[in-house]
Amino acid sequence: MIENTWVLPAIWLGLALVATLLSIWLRIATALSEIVVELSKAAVFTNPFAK
Amino acid sequence: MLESPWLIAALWIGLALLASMISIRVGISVALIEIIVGVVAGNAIPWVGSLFSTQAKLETTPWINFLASFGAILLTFLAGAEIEPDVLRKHWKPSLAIGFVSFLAPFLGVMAAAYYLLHWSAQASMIAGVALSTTSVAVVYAVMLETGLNKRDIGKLILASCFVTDLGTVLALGVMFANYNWWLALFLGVSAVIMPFAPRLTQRFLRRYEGQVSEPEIKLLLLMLFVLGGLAAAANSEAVLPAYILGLVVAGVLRHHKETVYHIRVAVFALLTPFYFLKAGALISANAIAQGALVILLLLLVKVAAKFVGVYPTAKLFKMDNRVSMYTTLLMSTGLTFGTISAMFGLNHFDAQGHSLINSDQYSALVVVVIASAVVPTLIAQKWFQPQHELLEENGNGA
Amino acid sequence: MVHKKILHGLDGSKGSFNALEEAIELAKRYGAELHTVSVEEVPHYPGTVGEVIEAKHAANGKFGQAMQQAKDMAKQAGIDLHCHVFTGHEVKTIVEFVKEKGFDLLVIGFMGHSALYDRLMGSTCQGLARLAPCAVLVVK
Repeated sequence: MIENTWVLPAIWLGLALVATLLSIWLRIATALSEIVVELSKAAVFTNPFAK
Repeated sequence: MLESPWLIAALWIGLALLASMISIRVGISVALIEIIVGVVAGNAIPWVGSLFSTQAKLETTPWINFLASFGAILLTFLAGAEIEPDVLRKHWKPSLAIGFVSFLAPFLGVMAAAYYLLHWSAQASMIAGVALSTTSVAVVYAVMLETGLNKRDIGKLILASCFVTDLGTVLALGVMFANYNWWLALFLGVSAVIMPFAPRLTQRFLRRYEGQVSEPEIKLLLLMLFVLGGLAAAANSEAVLPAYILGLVVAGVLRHHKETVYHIRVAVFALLTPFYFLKAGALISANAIAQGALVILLLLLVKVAAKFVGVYPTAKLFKMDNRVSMYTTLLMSTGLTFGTISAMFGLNHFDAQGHSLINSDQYSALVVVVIASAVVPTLIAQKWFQPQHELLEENGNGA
Repeated sequence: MVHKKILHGLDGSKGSFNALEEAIELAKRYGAELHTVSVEEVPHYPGTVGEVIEAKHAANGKFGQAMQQAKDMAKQAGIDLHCHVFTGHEVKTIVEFVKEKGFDLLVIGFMGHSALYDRLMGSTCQGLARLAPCAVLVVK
């Protein structure tokens, strides 16, 4: 399913939308919010024990 | 030859810039010029390369294909969003009738001609039928604007009919080649949930967040497009189908938020549609055009004749006089964007045996017919069948 | 020859403002009615409605400014200037407007293109000089 052209963009854009809304609510720069959301996503989906 | 993505991007954007300058200079739409520049570049670069004994070509990389597809989806979304729902409601009977026959007659006529006369495969014939059933709302709109008819009931009715025609095209494209499986059911289910709520959700977002530099309302629209597009693609349907319907559904909301539409249009025209139209042109083979001239002529004649058979009597049924009926019929014989989208769909989708639904020669013929159908009927309509109108005092008909 | 109804073609260029100065002078000399016309050209065979809307929007902005400047010039000279804006093909629209309203002089600015461009594309000046049903004054 991930090979479908639109799934990955949908995921990234969903994260971008979350970051945008966070930046508005918390009154911080969008760029900073996007970095934080991306780091959070990476932390959630990365196996910390992988070699 | 070019491996660096930046050099590839530079070449494509350079061609887009050239197309842009030419279109401003000659007063012809940038979409058409981009297709023509794509044709020239797509055929000239390999030829020039052969002179230097290299295999040069206008590269289409995965990211270029993505940007082109993204452009097609947003073009379709904007096309749907440009409808005036009030006009459709006011003229629903005649516009539904005229729009439906304007789609059905050429769809069946061209499909039959391609299958029985040109001996194309069933699937290629269906693609031809879909590609040549379209009407170019943009061409019709531009003509209406020049003549002032966009402000009159007859003009609004014609435009509403064009939307219905394009809806038929998009539905046919989305439904005919889909896999009837659980993915399709999921796509329909999610669409049934998102579409009714999309206007209210979009309105709320716009009310709350419009004007923010991070454009959350645009991201929301893009998210809906990608989710629905992804589900459509999983069902082997076409992502432009939900894009058009989503555009129709939020048209009433976006009418009051022109700045948001403007921002989307800026991104689309500056970055996305150049890749789409250049690619559409680059895939056309000059040899195929030369060798398929009769095929092109036949398909063009069948398209226009079928539109006549369908639209003219229907227009007369709604009490339009001869001149206006002819004018309506000729304008509804035009096609450009949706025609190329349909043809590109046929080239990029594969049957069970792994063959594309149409081959490169068939694609070239269809796109040339689509372009010719944007130009020829318009010229005839404007030259001989333009309805009489008065020039208005002070501020004219367009300001 | 006395002119009673003069039409000026305004496209916002320096040439068209030179032509306006001349048209104002002639209107004063003959006590003629002075009109100016701008034609917003939208792209032919557009692929999207948005392209047409953007082109019209840009033309509105450009001609809005030019019209205001033209009105100011005429006002300074003590002449009433009637302004008209249309959308369409420049030559065709102006020729039809001249016929419709019975102007007896059309004053336009000269836009200098290369000989090759003129040969391939034609120029608005040439088109108007050839097709307008009245006297045409081209101001350089």
